[in-house]
Amino acid sequence: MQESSSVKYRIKFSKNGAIKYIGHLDVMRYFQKVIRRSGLPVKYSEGYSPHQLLSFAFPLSVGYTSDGEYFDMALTDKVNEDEIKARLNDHMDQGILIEKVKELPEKAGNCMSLVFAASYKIRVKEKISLGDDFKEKTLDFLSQETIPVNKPKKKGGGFVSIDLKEYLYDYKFIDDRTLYICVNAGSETNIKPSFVMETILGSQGMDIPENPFMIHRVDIYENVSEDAIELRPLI
Amino acid sequence: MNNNLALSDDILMTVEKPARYIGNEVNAVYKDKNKVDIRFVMCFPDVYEIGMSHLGIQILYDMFNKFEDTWCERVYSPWTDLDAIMRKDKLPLFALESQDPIKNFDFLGITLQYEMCYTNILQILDLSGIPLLSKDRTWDDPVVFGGGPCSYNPEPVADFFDIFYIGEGETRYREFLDMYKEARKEGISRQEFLIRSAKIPGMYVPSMFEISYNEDGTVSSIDTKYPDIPPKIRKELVTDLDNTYYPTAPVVPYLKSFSDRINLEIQRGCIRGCRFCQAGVLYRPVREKSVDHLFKTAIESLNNTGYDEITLSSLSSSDYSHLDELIEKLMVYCGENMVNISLPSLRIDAFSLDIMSKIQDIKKSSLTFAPEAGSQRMRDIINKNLTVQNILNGCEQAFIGGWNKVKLYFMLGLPFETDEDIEAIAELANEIAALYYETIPKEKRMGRVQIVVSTSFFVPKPFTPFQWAPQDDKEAFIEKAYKTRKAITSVLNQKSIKYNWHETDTSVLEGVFARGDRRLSKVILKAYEKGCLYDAWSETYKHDLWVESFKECGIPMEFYTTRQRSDDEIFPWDMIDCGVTKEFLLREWKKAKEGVPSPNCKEKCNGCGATSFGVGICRNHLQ
Repeated sequence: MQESSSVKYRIKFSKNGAIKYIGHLDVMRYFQKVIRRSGLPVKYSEGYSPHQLLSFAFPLSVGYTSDGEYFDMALTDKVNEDEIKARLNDHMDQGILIEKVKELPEKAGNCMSLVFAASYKIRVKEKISLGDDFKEKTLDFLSQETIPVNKPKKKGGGFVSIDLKEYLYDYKFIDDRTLYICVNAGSETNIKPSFVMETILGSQGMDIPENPFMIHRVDIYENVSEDAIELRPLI
Repeated sequence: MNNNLALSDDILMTVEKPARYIGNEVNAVYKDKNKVDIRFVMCFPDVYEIGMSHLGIQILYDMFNKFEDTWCERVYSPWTDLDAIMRKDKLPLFALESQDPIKNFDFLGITLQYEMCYTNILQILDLSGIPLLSKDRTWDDPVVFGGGPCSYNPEPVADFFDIFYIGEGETRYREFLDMYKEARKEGISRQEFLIRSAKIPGMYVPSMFEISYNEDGTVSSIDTKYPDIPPKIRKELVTDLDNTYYPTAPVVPYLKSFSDRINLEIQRGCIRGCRFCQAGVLYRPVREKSVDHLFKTAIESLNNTGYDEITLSSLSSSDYSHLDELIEKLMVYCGENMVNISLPSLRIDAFSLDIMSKIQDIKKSSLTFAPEAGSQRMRDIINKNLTVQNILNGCEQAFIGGWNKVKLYFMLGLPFETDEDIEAIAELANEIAALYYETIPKEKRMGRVQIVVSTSFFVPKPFTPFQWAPQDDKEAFIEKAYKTRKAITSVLNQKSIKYNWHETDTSVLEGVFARGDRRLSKVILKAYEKGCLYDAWSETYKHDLWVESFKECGIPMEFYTTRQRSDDEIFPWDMIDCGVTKEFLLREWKKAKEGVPSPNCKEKCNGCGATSFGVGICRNHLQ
């Protein structure tokens, strides 16, 4: 059977405001409807229960905001990138905005397989009182040569011992309570931003209450270097 | 859009499914609150995902928001996790759109879809800071409205509501809101306002009525307290369903609700006249929508929401006169646009099966079928005009068409039921299974046929011919369920038949409230105070607390359930006129006793009284 033609696009979107409480699966369902409303010629899978050919890069936890989310979408016809952006945005008024659309070469890998790192702004909520030396202590801690930690395993119980430093690609303070980090993502290791901040607060002997942080994802990156780490946003 | 949420990030991150409380859904309506005169909040007193599946609220939400002077918002019951937090932190209940406290609204409208939601009504009032009893409210509180099917006998919750709207909401609210605005301008008292309300057709104001009782506990008289209050409240109804409110941009929840699709109402009412069915009486007469109107509504709704499924809803879709034409039209459009069509409430006949095989994926679907009773005798008693031959023919065609899963729904505890009637359920299931093996040759079978028999316990409802019937008690229910199970396990094809039955405790309580009177308000209040909430959910239903509450109030449940009612008993709901006369219902009750069925509205007019509305199918008989 002959494959019918399609053109792939990568979509970058932001998610801010109240919609941050909507989980990943519901966001996917939301987009399926947005695309249907927009009337874009989205491609459906073959078979008995056809579905739109969409693939999302990297789930965002409930409660996180983001300026760098991605999904890939196949259309049956070529449509101008700006038009796709405008038509999708015309059908959204809920805190999600299309930031960028890029046509992909036919052989491009899907966005999920490209994810290598993600950057975040982590704000420590006011309910945690931070000492004057918080910034300094944190920077000292992060600038160590190695940061051995026990990271909870993805599935089941237990911990794995890793060197956090190896997976921490960048960090800086945005303000007294907000730390920017860029960490490994998507792979087996996948460093959660909350884990990094919990580790920092733990190193300073602080107790951590429930829901201690406000977390914002800045962007998601692929590694464009074969033998080093050279990060570039997915589009 | 509104990003100023009533709940803090800490709370939203603590509760299960915070999406229940943030509003902002696609097609939710936002208005400038300074530019409207009336703030209305519609409530479905159950959890968000259930409430969002309800069509009635979507219709009224659309209607109210088309009024320029009104902003209508929504609220649902906070789940038990948030409930506990709101009580502890003394947070007021809020509407989803504006996130403003309910207490500040002009109106709180609560839809009563099932009896088991009654404690949830008190939760809504309580968390909003609105006095639970109507008599304690002032102009500082919203006017509390009730509506929906249970408001046809609103007496058990009469003390909690200021006004009940009886009938279909599309007709009288405009007139009512104008009266309200005028009344507020004049500065009249709340009491005076309620008196004026009671004079608007369809408005039942319980505090305007005085109920007296006989020594045996039955109602002796129903009297109005003020002059000029109409003693009977007649149901409101829409005369032309093509020219009224219907949402073409319904609110699309983020969370997967129980109805994740466009709900297209194709007609209102049912011609069948099953004697246990309340909806079949309340929505008389049958009124159909035109194919053109439906097709247009379907396309607009799909475009405005992005849903990929549409369901055609009505009490009995096969009876819609233009079903074939509508399906043909929709199939072309839906095929091109990757939309599925679903069609519940079909009678099983050749015509329906033909339609279903066109629109559905047979492999995935099971055929659902409600004979309601196992024996012909019993089906004649309940006026389910369906013979064994109809059922078997339907199943045979279904098996040939590729179905091999059949779900059968029955009721236990129907009036005049005998052991033979119960055993007949098993026999019917067995015959259907045997029919499969006779019809489908071995090499074409996909394993065993799967027949699922489900029974629920019959609860007599007001405004049905069975409103006079005694309800079984819990022990009788359980015994009947065991008998059914025993009968099923002793038939030849028992391995192809699975049996489920519904809870007994809630059926008894449902029966109490269905035919209850005003004295039950204090029991509901007591049960709520003891911690009853979400009684429709088996995981949260606390039967012991209910039993305790009835005992402490000195009210026996049996008075409402197992008692034999005399033909001339005054019922607590007799101030409501649903358009179908009590004389007709009594005639049907007597025919039931004799096992005599009645024709449906298409065949012959039975003189139920609904012709007085002069609309819908009754027009055929008036000419």
